[in-house]
Amino acid sequence: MHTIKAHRLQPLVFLGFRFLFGKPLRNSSAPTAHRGKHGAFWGAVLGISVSIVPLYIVLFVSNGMIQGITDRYLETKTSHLQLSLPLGVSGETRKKLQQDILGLKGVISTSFEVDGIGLAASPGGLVSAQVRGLDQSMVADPGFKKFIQVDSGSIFPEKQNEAVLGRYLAKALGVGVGDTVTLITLSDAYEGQMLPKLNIFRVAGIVSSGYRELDANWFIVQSETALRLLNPSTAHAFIGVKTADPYGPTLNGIASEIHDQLVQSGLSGIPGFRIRTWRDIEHSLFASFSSTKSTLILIMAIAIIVAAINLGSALTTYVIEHRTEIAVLRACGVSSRQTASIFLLGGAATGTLGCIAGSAVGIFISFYINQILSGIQAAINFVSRLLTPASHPVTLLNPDYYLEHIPISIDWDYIILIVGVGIVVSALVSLVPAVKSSRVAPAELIRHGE
Amino acid sequence: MNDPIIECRALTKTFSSGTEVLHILERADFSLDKGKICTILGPSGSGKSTFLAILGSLERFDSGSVRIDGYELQTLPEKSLSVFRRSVVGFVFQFHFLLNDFSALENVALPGYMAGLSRNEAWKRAQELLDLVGLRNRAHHYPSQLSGGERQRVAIARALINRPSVVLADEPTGNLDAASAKDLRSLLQRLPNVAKTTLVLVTHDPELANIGDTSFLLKDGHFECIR
Repeated sequence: MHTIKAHRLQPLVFLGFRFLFGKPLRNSSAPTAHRGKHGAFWGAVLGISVSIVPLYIVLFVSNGMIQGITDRYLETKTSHLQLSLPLGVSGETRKKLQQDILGLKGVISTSFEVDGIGLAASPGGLVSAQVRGLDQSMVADPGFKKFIQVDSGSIFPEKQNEAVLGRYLAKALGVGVGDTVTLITLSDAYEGQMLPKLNIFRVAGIVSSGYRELDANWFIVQSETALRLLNPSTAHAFIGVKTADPYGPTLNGIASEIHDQLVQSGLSGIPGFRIRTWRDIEHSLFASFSSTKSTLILIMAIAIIVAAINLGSALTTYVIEHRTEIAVLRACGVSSRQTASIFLLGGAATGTLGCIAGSAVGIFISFYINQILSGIQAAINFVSRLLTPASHPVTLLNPDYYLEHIPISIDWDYIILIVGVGIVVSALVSLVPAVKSSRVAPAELIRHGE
Repeated sequence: MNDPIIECRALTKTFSSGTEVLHILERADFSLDKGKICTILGPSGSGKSTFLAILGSLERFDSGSVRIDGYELQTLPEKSLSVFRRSVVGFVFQFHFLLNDFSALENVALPGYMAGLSRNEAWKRAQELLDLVGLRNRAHHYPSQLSGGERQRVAIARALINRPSVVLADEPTGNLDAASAKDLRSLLQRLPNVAKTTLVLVTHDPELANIGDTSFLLKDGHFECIR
């Protein structure tokens, strides 16, 4: 009496792969008819690949968009931390605070800014303006310079009667460098009444941050000018603080240290002094981004589940159609557990192939998404011009809502997660056909013969 | 006297078909010595194939005992049957039942590979067996590229891959033309010697029945030794 123990994985992988995908073409002398019937599994691989590609694109593009928008907010507008000040605080106190903050570990720069609202008027139009009174130190900051594109003129108003406009505000007003615009703000009059205050500015420059939603109405003047023009009840003065790592855990620590400094200098109890991180300031904006991204990912994940169910269905059909072959294996001593493993591994292998192929294509498209979108846009406009010469050019990503250039950063954690989930889901949907295959009785061969 | 490699005592098997109960085997006794060829004849529906399926543990029986190469089949749990099938018996069916997506060599090697042989060992042994059945040059052909006789010879090689103690063949020439059947008879006759195995053959073919060292007629649920 002798027994043979079967416990290795390789034969199961070999058999599963060959059952589902046929013989490799490179050395196959198999009749072509045998290869054709494996199309369902190559189709399942394709289905999973195709469903994964948009997930990567959505993920990386939305991540890139959110990151790009966040960077622009942090570097050109919000700063990493904001220490709000009462508008009447003396220049001396403010400078002392800036010096103290600069001395903290992890702080790179500080700048003073006064923001408010106004109306910008020109012969071309009347548009609401977001008045930003900046220090020279803000525009000297590398982060600010990195994201601000100067369309014409200078990046900063050198004189008190000069202003730098956002690209879309200049366009709406129909002005260019050297033209004049009138800024209308409100001034306190007696007995609580407001009166309009008109000031004429020469346009010194036109700039863009690359994100229209952020810079559309920028009306940049010197901080002293803004202090003079803006109404104290609607203006907001603050010290913007840039740190070495705005996304890291040290940010809250620096905020606490600044708060401690306020306490030590006896300023913390005075209304108007308040320290906030960029996450506090733009909380609702980034919550909106995050929920939009989550919704998109959920929709894409459903597509993957549908593709995986298709795989399960193809496997189940295969088991039903190949009961005889399975019974042959069982008659040859292949255990029900081994039979189930063949289909489980086969399903997982199908999912793995699909995930790898889909990941490669998805990452490639994500990486070149700007070029691909430009190409598609150019092609659409070319065809559109051929068909309708008077048609307006099509813009795939409206700069009102999207960055003009999508920054893509490939996140390997997401890739590992997507591939891992894809394989696990594929294996899970293979459970039903695997169990079905394990129930095929070898005695079916005898009945087949009868 | 040799110890029998197969020994069945009071073997009973019934099938229910609606209200009717078919008595296939009724307290049947059967034994066969190691290295012998035994042919089993009988009219259609007499239960020859069912008996073969019982010997190969493809089918359970109602009562009695079956001992093959030391294995008591009536006591083997379900999960041990696959161990028994890959260790002790090899099957040859009336229809070849080769896997269409695999070459002749792979069809032969697979049960060995699945049973725990290394890939090299399984493929080497399969090539030797294809040589043995006269198909050295057809190893890389697929079932659809082989004749009926060749397919059945591949099936015989497959049955031998795990060096079984017993080969069970169910009308192996049933689907073959006269010339192929003759070749296969000759091969089966040599099998116990070249493969060191015992052969149980179920057949309607009188010429194939003649190759047996012993022959039984299965009738009314009992075996009758006719040679």
